[in-house]
Amino acid sequence: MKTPARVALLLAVCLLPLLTSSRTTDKEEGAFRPVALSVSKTGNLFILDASGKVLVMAPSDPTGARRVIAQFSTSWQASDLAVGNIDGQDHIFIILTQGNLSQIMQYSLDGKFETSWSQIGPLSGVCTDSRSVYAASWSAGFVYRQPFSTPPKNTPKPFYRFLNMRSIGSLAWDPVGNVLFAADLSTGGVTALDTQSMESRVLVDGLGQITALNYDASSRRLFIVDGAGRTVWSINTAAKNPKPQSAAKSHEFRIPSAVAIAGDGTLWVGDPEAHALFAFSSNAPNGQLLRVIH
Amino acid sequence: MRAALQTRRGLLFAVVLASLACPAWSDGPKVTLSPAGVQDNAGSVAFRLRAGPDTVAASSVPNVAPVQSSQNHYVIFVDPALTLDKTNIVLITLYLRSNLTNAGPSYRYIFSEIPSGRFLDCKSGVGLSIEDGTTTETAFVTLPLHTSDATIDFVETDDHAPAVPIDATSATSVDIGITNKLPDMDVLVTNLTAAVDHDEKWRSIALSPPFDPSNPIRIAPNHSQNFKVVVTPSFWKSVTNTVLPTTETQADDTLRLELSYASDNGGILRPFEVKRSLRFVNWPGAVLFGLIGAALGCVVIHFGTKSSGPSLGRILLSRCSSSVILIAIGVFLVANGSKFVLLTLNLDPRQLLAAFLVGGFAGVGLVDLVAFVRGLGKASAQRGS
Repeated sequence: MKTPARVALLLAVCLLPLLTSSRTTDKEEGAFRPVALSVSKTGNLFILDASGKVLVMAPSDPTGARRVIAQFSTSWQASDLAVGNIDGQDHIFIILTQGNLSQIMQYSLDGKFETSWSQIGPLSGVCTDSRSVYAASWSAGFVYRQPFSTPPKNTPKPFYRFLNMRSIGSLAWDPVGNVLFAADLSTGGVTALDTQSMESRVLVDGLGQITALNYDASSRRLFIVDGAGRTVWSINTAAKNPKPQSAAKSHEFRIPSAVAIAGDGTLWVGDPEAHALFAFSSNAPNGQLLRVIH
Repeated sequence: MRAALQTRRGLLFAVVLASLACPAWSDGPKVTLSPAGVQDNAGSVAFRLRAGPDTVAASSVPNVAPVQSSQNHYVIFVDPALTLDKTNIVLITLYLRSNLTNAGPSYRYIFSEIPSGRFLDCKSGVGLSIEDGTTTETAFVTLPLHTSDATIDFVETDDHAPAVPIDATSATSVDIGITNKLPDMDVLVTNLTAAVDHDEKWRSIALSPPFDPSNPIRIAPNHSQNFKVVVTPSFWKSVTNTVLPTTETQADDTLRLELSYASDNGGILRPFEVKRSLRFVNWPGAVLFGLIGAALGCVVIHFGTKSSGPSLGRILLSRCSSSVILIAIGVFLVANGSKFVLLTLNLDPRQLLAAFLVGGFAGVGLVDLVAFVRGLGKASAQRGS
């Protein structure tokens, strides 16, 4: 092969990764509006954007580059996302709502559609345990449960009705105590349901406008995002009389709406109105702001 | 004793820590929004304070017309940009400033709407009270109120629109009007798509102009917006659909215009679907089949009656012209709402068989037809005698 041809081939080989990465990286397309976050076992941060995109980000990446792995029509409202583990493998569960119809979508971590279940009525929050996915009904206080093995055409079955709640927002699952946490949109409270005894108790009340919940099994803390109060609270659920403590606060918050805790203790907070992701140290008191990704 | 004292101290310390951690509101006045009934009590909206009072800089207060409190001690600013959070809760931000001290602080309050009942999103006056420990004042602010019921349609269209005739040989524009039913709030169309049930019958379906999601379409209250869909049928598939007449309710395909919209601002996303029946018509084909029908009728009657009148060429010319005129009149009448329904079949002269029959009738000619029938009668009478 002649020298110019070799140089051209070498250049093409070098440029190929650049070309492919520019095609898949979503950094500047439209405003970034994270409405839900979840961390996979591999440590990647999965982000649901209000525009209907599912993005993945490696927290170790200093540039905060995000890759789009799935995208939904803008006629569906993307409400919540959770990464759940089925037989040792992580999968993504997403709630989509269009008017009075909702869908729970299941995707693989690389964005391949796997299955979906439909539900009449708006759904809000989603979380998973080892066998099922749970979805909260925006109205009537119902939580639905759908075992992972359920065929697609079956609608999720009612699992529990919180009689003290009118509208349920986010959900979180405590795998240690088998407790389901549900946020009350009307009162700004969180109710804990012991799924073994099926007894519920109000864990905390009056925390403003709760927009997200996330449970950290290693520290046994529940993180609660107060969107209107612009504060992330944490509650030690192992304590006898748990009290909310400020876990993260920033003057850059507008309506924080998403929270996830990474394995290294980093607390990720998404704010669709601030168009940003915030990383806090969950170990430091009051949450030390580590970085902001726009 | 010492241990008990230490325990108490520890408890006191914990209480102090907990109080530091709990939401610490500034010492601003207490603001309460009264529940508002809407649309003859079809529904109501209550308000709940979610955050505040928070002390904010004067520069944070939006530049909007202030509302004076009853004794002019306070001015209230309503942030026009409402926030719909991901759980579909509408958040309203109010700012309060004292009129008594020029350099006094401004306070921010965030309220959420708690709607109940079925009503259309609307603007409504809401009573507000301000308590600062020495006085209680009232004010009246106008707020956009939103229902949480996602099943209510804020837009409407003509549900009984007749089937739209689609020219089989060229592109046709289908106009669909959407009316905003809201009394005093705009509707923002954020997504718009057009589709048909049978894709194989079409070459293209496109919105004109194309919808740009970054530029939502705004529809004013009680106003209509016309959306145009240009459809181009697949020639042979559509022509085969124009051969036989169809029943009046039967359409060749259905056009679906799907839109997502929300009341502006703060409304939840709502879907709306408009269906329009489409019926293929074929003008050039109809004229051609009309001419063929006329020619055949003419030839049959000419040789059947063995008439010694004008030459076949002249008759052919006049009767073909008559058939074209008849079809043109029929097309004009049908296009203006007339119907020729025979045994539930909707005979549209723009469809091929109907045009062929009209042409055949014109080709035979009424006088010749009568003569032909009389001739048949005479022949049978002679056979009988």
